[in-house]
Amino acid sequence: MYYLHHYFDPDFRHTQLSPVWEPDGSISSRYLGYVQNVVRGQVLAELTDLKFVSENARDPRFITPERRLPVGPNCTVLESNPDKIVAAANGYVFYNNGLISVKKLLNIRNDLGFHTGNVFFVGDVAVHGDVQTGFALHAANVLVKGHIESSKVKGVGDVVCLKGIRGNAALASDEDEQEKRHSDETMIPSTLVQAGGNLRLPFCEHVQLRARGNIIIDGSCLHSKVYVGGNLVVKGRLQGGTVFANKLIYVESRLGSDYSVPTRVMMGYDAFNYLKLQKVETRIGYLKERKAFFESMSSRNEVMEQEYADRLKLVKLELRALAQRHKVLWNSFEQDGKRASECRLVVPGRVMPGCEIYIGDGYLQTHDTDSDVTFYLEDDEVKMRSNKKKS
Amino acid sequence: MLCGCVGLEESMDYLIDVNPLEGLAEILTLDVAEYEAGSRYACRSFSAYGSERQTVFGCFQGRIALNDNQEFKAALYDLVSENASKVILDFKDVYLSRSAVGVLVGFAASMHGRNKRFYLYRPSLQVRASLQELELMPFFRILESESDVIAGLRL
Repeated sequence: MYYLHHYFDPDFRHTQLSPVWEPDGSISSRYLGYVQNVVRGQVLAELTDLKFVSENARDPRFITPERRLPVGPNCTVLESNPDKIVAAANGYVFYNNGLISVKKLLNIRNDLGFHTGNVFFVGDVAVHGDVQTGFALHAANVLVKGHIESSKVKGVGDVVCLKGIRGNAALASDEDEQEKRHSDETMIPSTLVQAGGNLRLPFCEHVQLRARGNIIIDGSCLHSKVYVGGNLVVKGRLQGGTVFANKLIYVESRLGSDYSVPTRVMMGYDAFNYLKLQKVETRIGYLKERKAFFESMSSRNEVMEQEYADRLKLVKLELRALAQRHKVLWNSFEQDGKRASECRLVVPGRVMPGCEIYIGDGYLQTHDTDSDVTFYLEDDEVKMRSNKKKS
Repeated sequence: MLCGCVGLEESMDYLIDVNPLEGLAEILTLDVAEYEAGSRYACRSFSAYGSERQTVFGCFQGRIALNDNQEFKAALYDLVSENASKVILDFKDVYLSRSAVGVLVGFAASMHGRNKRFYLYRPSLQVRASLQELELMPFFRILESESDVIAGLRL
């Protein structure tokens, strides 16, 4: 007789999840353990002789008279030990028709919300509903068939959202303040959608988009912060917010707005270096405030000096490290600047007054309404030329 | 405040002199005067950890194979029990089997689920190679230098 010992929970049911008790006695409603991740090569189960399994550890369901392993799709038998089943791919493990199976695509048939908790999956994820407010998703490639509400979605590869992304305006404007206070570790500051590859969505409002590849927005991009490593295509309006890009931006319908909402486009430097620089500068500002506070407290008396000595030392250490990092980032900016002349902002539609366009060291603010124009850098100045053919 | 630390020895001097966190020793020992001897965790053969300013440091050493998984998992989840917002794992001298990588991924999922931050500090070449081969590197945040670690501390 043999016993199949499992290295995962064979009774796991994603439909029967319950909130997890935290060590401090609270309940984590956002972590339910929706999926059992496994990686390629991980041992999932092992067949052992029944006599080596203590009686109280035996589950009668897994006692078998035959030396047969229930190997399902994306699973294989370990070559060096034919009694072990290992995963042949990254994904999630489950029993399917009596066979141990690994699936690379996780389908969340409803919304990602309170019945799933936050999801972290090493394969691809398709959310058939919405990603609800306050939840987070991190996966290889992500497809969201519904909306993404104020939440955090990260894809190592591509991210596609079919219905649009809407953030919370109040939270979005608070983000810098939160970062300053350094209190954003345990909460989601605002809507963030990040893709290691390309990102495609129908519209977005009050969100932060980050993509190492291209971003294609089929509708409008309103009041959002966009960091793009490749090209940005906006088929509707690009209105409000800031775009950081280093290649081509194409805005089909309209750049800027009627209501003097500032729309900034910053090109010529690596968008993600901008992001790093912003973080470093925010942190330096915060640390300087803390340093001043610690110094004022330390100067009161000896006890206070002793109390704050270690924190002051840490602040100084970090400030020194950040100053060095700041310098390195600036150097990389100088190198990036050489490619600024290749950047183009193409607007076949209308350009409204009040748009601020930075390319490399050049700057231009639009004062009139124009249409079908291209912005580019020439002799360290941002210039605008019409794309209309002369009759 | 240094809330607690695990070492194989009882002596606090041991912790200061041969802290397995090496480069982090200075930071960890800054507050050592406030160390509370009572707040000691269960001792595990391959882990030592301490927490400071809502950041927990976990130091793991040696080969972590299939047979060690239960212990490895328990050691990881003990770190979360400190109610810290960030967990930094020092994996400089660690060899992880594929099953241990699976446990690590499960832990990362748990940290992500709880909106806590999770970092690997200077992972060994073997750990890096494993993560890269499995295309898992982008799922983990790597800290390469001490200054990165300091930046993680709440001041």
